[in-house]
Amino acid sequence: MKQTLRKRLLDYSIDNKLSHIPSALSMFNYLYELFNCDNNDAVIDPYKWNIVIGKPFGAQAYYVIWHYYYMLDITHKSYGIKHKEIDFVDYGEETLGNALGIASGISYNGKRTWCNISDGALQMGPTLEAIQFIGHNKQDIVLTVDYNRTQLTGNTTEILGITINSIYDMFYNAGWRVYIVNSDDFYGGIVKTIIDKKGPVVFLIETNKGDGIVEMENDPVQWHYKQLKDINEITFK
Amino acid sequence: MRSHLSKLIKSNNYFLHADMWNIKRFPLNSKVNVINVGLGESNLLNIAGGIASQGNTVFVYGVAGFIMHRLEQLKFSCRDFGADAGKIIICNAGKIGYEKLGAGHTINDDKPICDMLNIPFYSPENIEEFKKALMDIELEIQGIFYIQLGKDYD
Repeated sequence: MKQTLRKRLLDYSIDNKLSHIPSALSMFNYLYELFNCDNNDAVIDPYKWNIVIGKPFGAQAYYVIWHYYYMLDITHKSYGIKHKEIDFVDYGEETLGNALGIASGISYNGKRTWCNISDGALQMGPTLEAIQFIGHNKQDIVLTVDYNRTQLTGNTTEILGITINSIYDMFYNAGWRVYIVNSDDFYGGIVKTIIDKKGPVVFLIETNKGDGIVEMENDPVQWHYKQLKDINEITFK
Repeated sequence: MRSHLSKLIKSNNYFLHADMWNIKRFPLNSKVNVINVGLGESNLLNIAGGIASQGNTVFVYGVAGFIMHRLEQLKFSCRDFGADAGKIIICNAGKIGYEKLGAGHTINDDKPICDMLNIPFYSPENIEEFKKALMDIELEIQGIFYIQLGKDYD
């Protein structure tokens, strides 16, 4: 089913003239592992968890998975995830740096909270403030970071000198449990075991922008906003 | 003013501040959820927005120069998100007496900011005006409000 949904993601992008395809492919694998309900194996039940989306673009990755497993109606949806359009999403907006702080506030309702952000959001001040607060207060938040090392104009390390090891230390020193994991090794079953223990935990998931598509992996900057008009424009690895 | 304001804060409400000095001036019910977020006004407003989004009432207490210039969080997290479901009441730390501390502590532009963001602005000049402002706010079910606290009339 995973490969079928990946193909559907591309078809949906073509049909709806969507860009941010490399971002969608980047996080597709771990989103699938978090939400796939085959064998009752979903890590996150969106109707029991708080869902906070700080990486709203590449929305087609969420859409195709939630459409298949949670019967989400994906007609006439916005370019990015909007909480007003999806009943089980508590927050989804393009003010990316605020999502983790908002997740912190929402989690006072007592439910577990999942928040998804990009590595680019780790450059934003409010995210850094939230990391300290959540870690200190041991809030029950599971954070996934799409660590694809690429932002709009280039490599995250080249632009701001940030390394995954420095990010690891920052979370760890703030009181989080931290896991660096390759996207291909991110399995729902393992994640479920790790998050069995409550408290703040972050998965820094090493991904590839445009994962699986030769042209997008080779030139993620060019493809960041580019629309795919025909499936024959691209080459599968 | 703070003692009157405290009466408005109910046991299931939230009272957020950014490491404010002399917080005991608010005689709060012990069941009020008091949260010191540390020196992070942006995060304070994001947390306030998240808590309010669940239908709660949140009081925010901080230095206006730092709170009210976090426009992104005020607009997107509080006004457009949290205040859509709950109530956020922002109270500044002082109307007078802060000027000597520097530009960050002055509050000469809180009204223009409220006007720009369409946030109801209250600047009571005496205890009667203050009580009326509180009554107005208490009647509302949701929204975001700003009260410019002045000297204590108690």
